[in-house]
Amino acid sequence: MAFTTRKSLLAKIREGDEISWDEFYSAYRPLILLRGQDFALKPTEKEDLVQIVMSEIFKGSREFLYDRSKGRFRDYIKKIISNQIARILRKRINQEVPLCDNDFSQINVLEQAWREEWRAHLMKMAMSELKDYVEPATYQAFILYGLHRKTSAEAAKFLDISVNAVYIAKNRCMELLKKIISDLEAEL
Amino acid sequence: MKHYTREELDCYRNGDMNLFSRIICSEHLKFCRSCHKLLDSLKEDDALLDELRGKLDRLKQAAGEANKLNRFPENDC
Ligand SMILES: [Zn+2]
Repeated sequence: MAFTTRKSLLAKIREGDEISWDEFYSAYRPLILLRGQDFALKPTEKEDLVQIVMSEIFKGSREFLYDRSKGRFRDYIKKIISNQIARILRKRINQEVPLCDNDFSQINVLEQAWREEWRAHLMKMAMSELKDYVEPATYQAFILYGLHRKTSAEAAKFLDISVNAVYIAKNRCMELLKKIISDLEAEL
Repeated sequence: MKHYTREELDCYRNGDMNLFSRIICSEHLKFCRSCHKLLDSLKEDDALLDELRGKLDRLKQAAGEANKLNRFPENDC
């Protein structure tokens, strides 16, 4: 059971609830930017990419409802991002701006890069989900010791808990995180 | 036979055990496959944490660079 009543993005996608622009934007913007980076888009093109992908997904509405009959969400969003990147690159050709080395010719490299980026995105989502599932002190101990590489003693001192409690928090969070990542892999 | 918990093994591998307990644990690990397996799974968790740090940094960096450029518009000249 979730520790907070806030419904996660995953739960909304899973249950077919509407997702707001803001929530989607903050969750997916880094992924879209990273994908733009693979094609060496210029900063302004990357920002354009985020905006047009968002517009394509929301189609003028403030809410987005994913239709599962469209297949897996990861394939759906990848297709939208790829189409819009292609559109930006075509615009470059029309403007006679040379394409960079990272164009569509390196399919395998780009596929691998996408898988890495998608995994990064899932991990980010999983962290956000995890926060809702554990007590704030547990999450904080995990962040300090697990992510920020503080020693167990430093984390324990900072949070005024025992070293053993830091390890309990870390192991509890790792167990949950693995479960959430595997759920996300299956759901999205 | 008493086996070690994940937390006890975390203490062991991070030097949070006193010398006496550490020697006993070390001896136990030499013949206990179950505890050794648990210790290996903690190492796997470390690898996942490394991956997590790396991936989150990459996403943060991509978003951070874009934010920086939004604050200081690109000079096309
Ligand atoms: Zn044992």
